[in-house]
Amino acid sequence: MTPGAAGWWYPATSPVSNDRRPFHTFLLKIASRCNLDCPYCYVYHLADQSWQKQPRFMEPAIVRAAGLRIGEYARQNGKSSVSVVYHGGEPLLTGQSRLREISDILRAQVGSDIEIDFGLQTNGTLVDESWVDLFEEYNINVGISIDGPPRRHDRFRIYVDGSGSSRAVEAAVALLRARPSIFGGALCVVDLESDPVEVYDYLVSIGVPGIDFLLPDGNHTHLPPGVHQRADAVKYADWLLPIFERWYQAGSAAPPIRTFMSIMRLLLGRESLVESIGPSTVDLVVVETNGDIEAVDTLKCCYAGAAATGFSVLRDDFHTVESTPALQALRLGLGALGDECIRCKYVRVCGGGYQPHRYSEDRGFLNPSIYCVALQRLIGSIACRMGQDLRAAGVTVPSRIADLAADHSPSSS
Amino acid sequence: METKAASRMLAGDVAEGQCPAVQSPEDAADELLRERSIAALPDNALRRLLEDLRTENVDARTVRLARNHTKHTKKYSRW
Repeated sequence: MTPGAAGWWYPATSPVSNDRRPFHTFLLKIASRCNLDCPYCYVYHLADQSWQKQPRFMEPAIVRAAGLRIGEYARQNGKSSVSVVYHGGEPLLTGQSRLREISDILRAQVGSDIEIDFGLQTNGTLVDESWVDLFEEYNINVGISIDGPPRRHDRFRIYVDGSGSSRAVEAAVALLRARPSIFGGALCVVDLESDPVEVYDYLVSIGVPGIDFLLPDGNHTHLPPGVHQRADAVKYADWLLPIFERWYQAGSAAPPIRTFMSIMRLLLGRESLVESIGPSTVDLVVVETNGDIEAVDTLKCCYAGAAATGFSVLRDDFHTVESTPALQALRLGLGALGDECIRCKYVRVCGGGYQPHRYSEDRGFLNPSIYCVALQRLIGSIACRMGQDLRAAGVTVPSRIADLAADHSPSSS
Repeated sequence: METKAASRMLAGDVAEGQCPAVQSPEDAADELLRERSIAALPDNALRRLLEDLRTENVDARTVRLARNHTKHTKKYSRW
């Protein structure tokens, strides 16, 4: 089978989606380079090397075109607000004057009738007081990437010379903590060799307002760390569950953890809070540094060109991109999944897992997630914990929770 | 799904104190969101989530429609 052929992104028999949920989040790759060299990064160290052909920074002409397209698209879809996320590479490499210019251009081009919620994901190494002032001035919600206490963080989040970035990141967290209105939270990539409770306790101790644990990007062709066959992936659930238990019991004293909250919400029939889990459609689109419009950027862990659509903000509007196969697949929700997923009782919670994690070079995206067994154990154990507490409180346990808890124990490891 | 639950509340189908048959996760969630159900739980993540969902429903009722008018969550922003 060849990439892009019928049956690659979603079953050939799936009807074309009539989901008209418009894009809401526009992720702008304003810098294509990074001052860190993390070996797990999907941009630089996995299957797609297209970053090498990108300009270093997004030029004003691209920003103007993107802003104009975003404004037109929002207006055509009756939207009064959109989310624009600055991403990279490392977006702070743009420098403050360029980031101001980008933000001003976007506001002008999108139009005053459309509210822009700005976000930014940074590695934290360049954040200082003046950056935090700028974030506050432009009301930019900041997420920071941090993998745990220094000796853990510095295993992978390293500069080109191999030295760790933890000291700079801790300083950044301290600065951001003092501005709670613009500090979103921390993204932490799971490292099986670290102690999960130590990582969690550390993140709590430095005062991040929210946490999300990310599974390392990988799939059936490019296996994640520690996974040699599908069953091995259960180690990721075994890593996460001790954190879940500690977080769950802490109640209102603990910072939100989006993955756990999303699973709990999905078990209650609500929508996920993250793009990586749950059956709902995804409303994110990416604008590359050169203006190319792309699908979910983490598809770069699959194969060269996986995220490409062939469209650009210089020539095309966002409506045009909606029907490209990669984005169509996201709009199909459960309709994009292969038979094994559709038959599975967990699918209404996991949604097949994250799209890039379903890839294999022989079957495209019609596989369960490479993390399937981990997701099942995680979901089942969380359902079990919720069911136990509901029963103890004398409340009827919803059938979805009871069904998915059946084969698990609360901390089944 | 929030839309469905909130719409039912708007329409008054599920009045406080009634106990509908638990058929779907949405119906079940409605039951769980009753104040007395939440109060019976210890201070844990489940209680906190149910309190949040209850607030989401109230917010949805306030603005008359859930899906298109509730403040968009930071769902797909990386934060």
